[in-house]
Amino acid sequence: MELIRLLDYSLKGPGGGAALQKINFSLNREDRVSIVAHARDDVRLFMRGLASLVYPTSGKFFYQGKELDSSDYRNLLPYKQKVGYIASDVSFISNRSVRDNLMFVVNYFENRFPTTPSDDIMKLCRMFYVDEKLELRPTYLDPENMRIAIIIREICKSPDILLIDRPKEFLGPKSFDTFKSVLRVLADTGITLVFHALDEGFVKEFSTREIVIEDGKIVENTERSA
Amino acid sequence: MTGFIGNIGRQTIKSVNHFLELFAFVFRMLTLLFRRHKEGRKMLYRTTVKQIYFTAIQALPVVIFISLVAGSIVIIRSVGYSELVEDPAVLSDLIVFTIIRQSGPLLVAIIVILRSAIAITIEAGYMTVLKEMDSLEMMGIDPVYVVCLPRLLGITTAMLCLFWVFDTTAIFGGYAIAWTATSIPLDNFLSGVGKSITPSDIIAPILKAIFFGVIIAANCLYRGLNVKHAITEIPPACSKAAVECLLYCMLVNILVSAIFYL
Repeated sequence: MELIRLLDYSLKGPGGGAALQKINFSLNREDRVSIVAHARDDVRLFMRGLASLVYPTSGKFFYQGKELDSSDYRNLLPYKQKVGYIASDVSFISNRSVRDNLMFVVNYFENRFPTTPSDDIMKLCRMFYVDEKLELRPTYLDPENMRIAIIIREICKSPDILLIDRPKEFLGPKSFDTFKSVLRVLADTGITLVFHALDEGFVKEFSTREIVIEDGKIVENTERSA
Repeated sequence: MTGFIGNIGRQTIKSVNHFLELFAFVFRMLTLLFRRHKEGRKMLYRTTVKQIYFTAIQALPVVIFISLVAGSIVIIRSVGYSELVEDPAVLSDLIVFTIIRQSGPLLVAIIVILRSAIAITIEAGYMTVLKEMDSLEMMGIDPVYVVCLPRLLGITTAMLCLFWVFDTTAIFGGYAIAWTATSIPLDNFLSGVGKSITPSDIIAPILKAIFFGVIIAANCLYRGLNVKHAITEIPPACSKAAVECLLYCMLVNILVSAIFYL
């Protein structure tokens, strides 16, 4: 089943110039796509485009067959809720504790307050050794723990698609293996992944397809042999 | 000459755009209020109560102190001139005019701007720069609903409460100070002030409080949310927000007073 389709999708770069031009891309459920690009900015922009954090200058974005209307950010919220975004440009809400941040979605949508983290969240927290830091404000966490907590929050959203930008650099080598073991479980359950990783082993293990972005265009789109 | 006229034109368009965006933003928050979201109500309630606490409860010592000082000065000075005035009602009218109608609302607005408006601009600014707004959106949550609307509700409610506290403390507290600290005649002072208060003196401050609350919250959030790229953009945004809030509040104060009292 097709989850995402981009048709002639163009995105402006941070400086305003045309950065991604007329991209055509489709993503099926359970696809695990690795992105290769010479320009780091292209990957970041592509990821942000998939997360609908930047709006297209032209082209169409279909999610589960329906075109997303990016004329108003509110139209994109239901889609964004289905996307887990793990990258250096996401953060925690700094005036809430780690627990509140992890429970934010549940608290909001189930209209409960306060709530205790579910067993799944606690299990992940224990795996990454952040279970004793739940009452702290994000600023009291060291950067690695903060990123771990972000990963837990994104995974606990039960997303349809998980976008991951350079996981090893994002997490640091210590927690990277734990993250891979979590990702293996998610991959077995059939999660759809789009990621950019410099670690060859990670790419080999998790990708089923590879796309190459060059000069703002997808120039290669190849299935990976197992 | 062309450049000068062009500059005036550009500034005018910029100002008109600013006002239109500000109105659109207020409208957006008010529609959220009346749409009665099913989700996030508890979160909205909690954040609103917190905002009321920060803006009203924590400001009480300052508001009470300033209202006592302002009230006692106005009362002592006014009553001190009582021998020069034939009709004592004029003095009561003067006190009501000075405290309830004009200086009270503005002083409370200034305290709220100094304490809360700048804090809100900074908070909205750093939340935007640090991508916390993006994070909220990625959770499928509208930042305007969980960040902006509670501030609007909290500050407006706090303004209403602080107006009431200021006027009551200034009249009764000022009277008490004048009575204990001086020997000037204060016969029938409170009944005179009571007679001078008209229904307009109750409705106009309520309207002013609502307008001031909306102006301060919306303008500061707007300035904070327009900070895009760097933390260094936050101080100028705060400065702009504070000055604009004060100017808009003064204008609304004059406008509401003109409608009710002229």
